[in-house]
Amino acid sequence: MKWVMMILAGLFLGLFLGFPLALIVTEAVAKGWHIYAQAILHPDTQHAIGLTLKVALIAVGCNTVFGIAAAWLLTHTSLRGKSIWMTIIDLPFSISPVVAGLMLVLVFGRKGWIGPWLLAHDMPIIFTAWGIGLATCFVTLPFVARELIPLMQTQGTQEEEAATLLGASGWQVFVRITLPKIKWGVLYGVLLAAGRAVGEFGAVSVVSGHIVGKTNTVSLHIERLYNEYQFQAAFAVSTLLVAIGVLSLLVHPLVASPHRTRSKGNTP
Amino acid sequence: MSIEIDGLSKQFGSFTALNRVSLSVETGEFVALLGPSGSGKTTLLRMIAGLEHPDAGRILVNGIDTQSMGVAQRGVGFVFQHYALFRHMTVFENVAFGLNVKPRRERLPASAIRDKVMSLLQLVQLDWLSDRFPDQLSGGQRQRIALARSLAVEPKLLLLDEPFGALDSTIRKELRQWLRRLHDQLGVTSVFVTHDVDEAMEMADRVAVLRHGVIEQVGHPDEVYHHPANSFVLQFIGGVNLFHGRMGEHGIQVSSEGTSSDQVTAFIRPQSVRVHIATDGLSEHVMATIKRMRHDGISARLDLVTEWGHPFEAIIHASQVINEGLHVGQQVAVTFDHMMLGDYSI
Repeated sequence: MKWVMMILAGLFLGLFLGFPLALIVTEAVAKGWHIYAQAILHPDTQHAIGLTLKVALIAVGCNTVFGIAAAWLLTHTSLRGKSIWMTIIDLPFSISPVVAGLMLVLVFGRKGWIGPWLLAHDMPIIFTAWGIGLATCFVTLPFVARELIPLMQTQGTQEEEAATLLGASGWQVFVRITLPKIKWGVLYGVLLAAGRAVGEFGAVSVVSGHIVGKTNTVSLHIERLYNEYQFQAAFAVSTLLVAIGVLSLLVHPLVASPHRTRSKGNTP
Repeated sequence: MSIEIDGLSKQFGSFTALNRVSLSVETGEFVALLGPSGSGKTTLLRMIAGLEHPDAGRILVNGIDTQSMGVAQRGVGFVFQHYALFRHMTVFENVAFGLNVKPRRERLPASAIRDKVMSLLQLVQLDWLSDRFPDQLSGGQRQRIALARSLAVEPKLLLLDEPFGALDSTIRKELRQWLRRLHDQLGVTSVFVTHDVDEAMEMADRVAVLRHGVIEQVGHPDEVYHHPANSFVLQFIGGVNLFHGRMGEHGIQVSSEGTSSDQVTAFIRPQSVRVHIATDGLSEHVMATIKRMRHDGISARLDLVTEWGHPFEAIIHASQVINEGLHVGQQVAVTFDHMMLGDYSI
């Protein structure tokens, strides 16, 4: 029975995961490494990588601050309607990214809610890097908060209470007690959010305008290359995203292990 | 530091945690808040610390209303049941925490902090563990570190929430005496929460028995034990035997249940039952048969039954069982040291 299950699971994994991933890599270098390098080093690709990293950095940064604040409010205070707030935080998970993009167009677009005002003041959002940043922010909003809320719930607030009783101010308690307690959870949430931010397609696609060398992210760039029949280049750039995915999987167990041993004072 | 608790009430949703509780604690006293879980004892302790706010009533510390006081200003040391040590800090850093977070003007120089922390660790006899992390310590060690940490800020009032609740029984008994000595040595005022009757009786100057958010009785352990205020306290503080009797010339005379109008009900603690192998020199006594015996090394529990078939329990010294060769099936004479009369309804 065990063997049957293993073969079934193995076949499935191989067919839908291992094989296609391997194909991407072989396709990427099918016509030689120099073409692979050319595709990666092409100025348009380089610009897309730069833009993606910039957007990811800003979006993840914002959502880390938001996530910590939201998780703290929901676990360390007696806020009313906690379950409603949790649902709101989860919203970006359940809304299709395309719809998220369209929502941004409705608000910031040329005929949108505050779009005309922004345009009049020379601050366009849609079809700019700002729009991409906003869209990425929206889709990665829940990651850090989602990671921290259950963690902080199980950790409880006794250590914080102890610190307060010992005379620490609210800020001291947060910096010296709460942050060290949750740092691995934050890091894991950041990792998840970063993975999603880099690979996001739907929402970004709607608001970006696909302007090569201006508002093209890596995912959009891959689509464009593919549609222009530059298959090898598309696969070559894809390997970058695959690499990021594999990398975050490798870092994951290091970050997520709940009980880490310290280098210091570890003698029995 | 004296505490005056006046009409404290607290409601959590539909659950009444405290219902107009009043209690005063004298300077230097060691008071136990004793009760079953859900009786409100921890809520009361947390309110004294300022971690919880009352819906009604007030707490005076040295005659000053604490309502507007912050948690830190109250100068209390608090020891949590599950220690609440800072897991990312060493033992040394844990104990030093209260000294390190003081504003720069009030903060001691680093060397003075070091000396103070080390002397506190010596006080709890754990100075050799100063560079360990909490998860490398045993439960008893963690509890002592938690105590040392709370003492670092020199509290005048020490609050302990089930301090030995998570420890095994041997370490518990050891730490009880040690903590009581420490209390006397430091000259602090202490309030501690427990559901363990023996612990409260052994350590406290006074015991406050709580149930459903109400203090049922406050008094010296002996008083609570021998003169319980009501049937709840009577039963909660150790077991009790129920006897029927009549008022005789030498006090109550225990007998089988009768119908006469002068009949009374007497309550007798198992510890107040004396067992004799001979009736010589005994005036008022009852004959009984030993049905069962259990030893725990120090004391022995005897299940007995009177001539008229009334079962009861006795707790005697284990040494008596050995010295007098008591055995199951033996007939013995029984006298009672202390009887409680009253309208306890059981």
